[in-house]
Amino acid sequence: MKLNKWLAWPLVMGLVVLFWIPFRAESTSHLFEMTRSITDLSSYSIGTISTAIESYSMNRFVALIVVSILFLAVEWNMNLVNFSNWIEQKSNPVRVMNYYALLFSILILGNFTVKPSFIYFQF
Amino acid sequence: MRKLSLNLFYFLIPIILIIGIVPVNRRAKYVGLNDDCSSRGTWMHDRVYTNNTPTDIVFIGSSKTINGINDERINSALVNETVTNFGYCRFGRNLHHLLLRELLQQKQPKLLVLEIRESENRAGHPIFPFLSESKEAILPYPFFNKNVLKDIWRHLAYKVELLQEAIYSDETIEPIRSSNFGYLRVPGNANLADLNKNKLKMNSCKDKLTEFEENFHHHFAHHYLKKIAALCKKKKIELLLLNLPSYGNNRTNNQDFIRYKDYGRILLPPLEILDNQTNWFDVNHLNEQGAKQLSDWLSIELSAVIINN
Repeated sequence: MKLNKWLAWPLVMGLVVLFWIPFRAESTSHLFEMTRSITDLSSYSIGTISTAIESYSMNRFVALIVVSILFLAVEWNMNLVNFSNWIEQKSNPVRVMNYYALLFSILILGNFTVKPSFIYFQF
Repeated sequence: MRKLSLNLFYFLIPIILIIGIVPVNRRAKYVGLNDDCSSRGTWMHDRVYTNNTPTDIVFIGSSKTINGINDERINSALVNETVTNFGYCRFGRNLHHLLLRELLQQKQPKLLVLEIRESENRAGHPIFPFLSESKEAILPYPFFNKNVLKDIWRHLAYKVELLQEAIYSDETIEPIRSSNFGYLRVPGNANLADLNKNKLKMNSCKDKLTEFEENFHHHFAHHYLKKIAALCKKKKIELLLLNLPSYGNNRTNNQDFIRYKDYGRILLPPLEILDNQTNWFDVNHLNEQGAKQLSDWLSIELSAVIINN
């Protein structure tokens, strides 16, 4: 069976996201709870989604969208090019700059949460 | 493989340098510790940098100090001196050295009372990489702190986290803490069975270290104790070492603290306070009643030190 690529992309992406859920669940009951929650259509109102984004951080969300679009654009342009072959043809400074750009993207967008959380007594 | 490792190393150096050099807001470093140790980080920062009340007598130590020293009570007893409890949960002398240096940026204490206990912590303080400057976090004193690599990672990751918060304007808004005192009251009593069990454990000899082991494992802590003592000497601060053991520890004379005698005078709280089981919240911490008795005793001791000076 061959699907139209405009249908195939979101379908594959959606399936990948769904298949991650069992790995995130802490127990079987948690898995069912998460599945129930994700299939509850009433939770997809604009209000709840904007609240979720606000609590995450609107600025981070915008940055994430911009970088995702950037990566998709690069992916689109490179479509059939093998990244390994492509980068090997570049001069050393260009290669290094590319690697640094990728690393800085990770530093700007990555999750580096190491803040300690330590409570001696529950008063 | 060797070439790859070297290239990777050279590739990462500029990143580490950039993260190390880029400045972060000093208060944000302390505010970032809000989920740790009853948010004392923010209070300590504000007590040093925004609260103009002097700090004549400073207590530095762990949660034993936080719960055992009622600074407000001692402050009332010593009319002309301002007393501040700068205890921070858990152990590690490198943090005590860092806190003293921070304090000296703004304040001129006359007395520093440093907590000592049964033995020194073998590693650095877990909070040290979060508050330290990049130079001392990336190039720390290595002998023999098992957390060196973990501390470097934590420092760099925390800085990136704070930089991200600044870039995305996600900083936690935290009101200025204006309290002069850092004592944390813990009411309630310890379980007697736990206290008795701890007493037996404390007085058994099976965990005693040989002199070589002691020198090896506690070298890191004593390195920082020497630095604290040297800094106090340079700034003309009298250093006192206050023994705050766990319940049941029977070391009661100066001979037991021979390694500390070069740093400063040792204060040994009376056994009537430490042996009284109703004075403990748990095996490590005094409760409100214990803190009251210890603080009253300390007020008298510190008055004598001040008069002698």
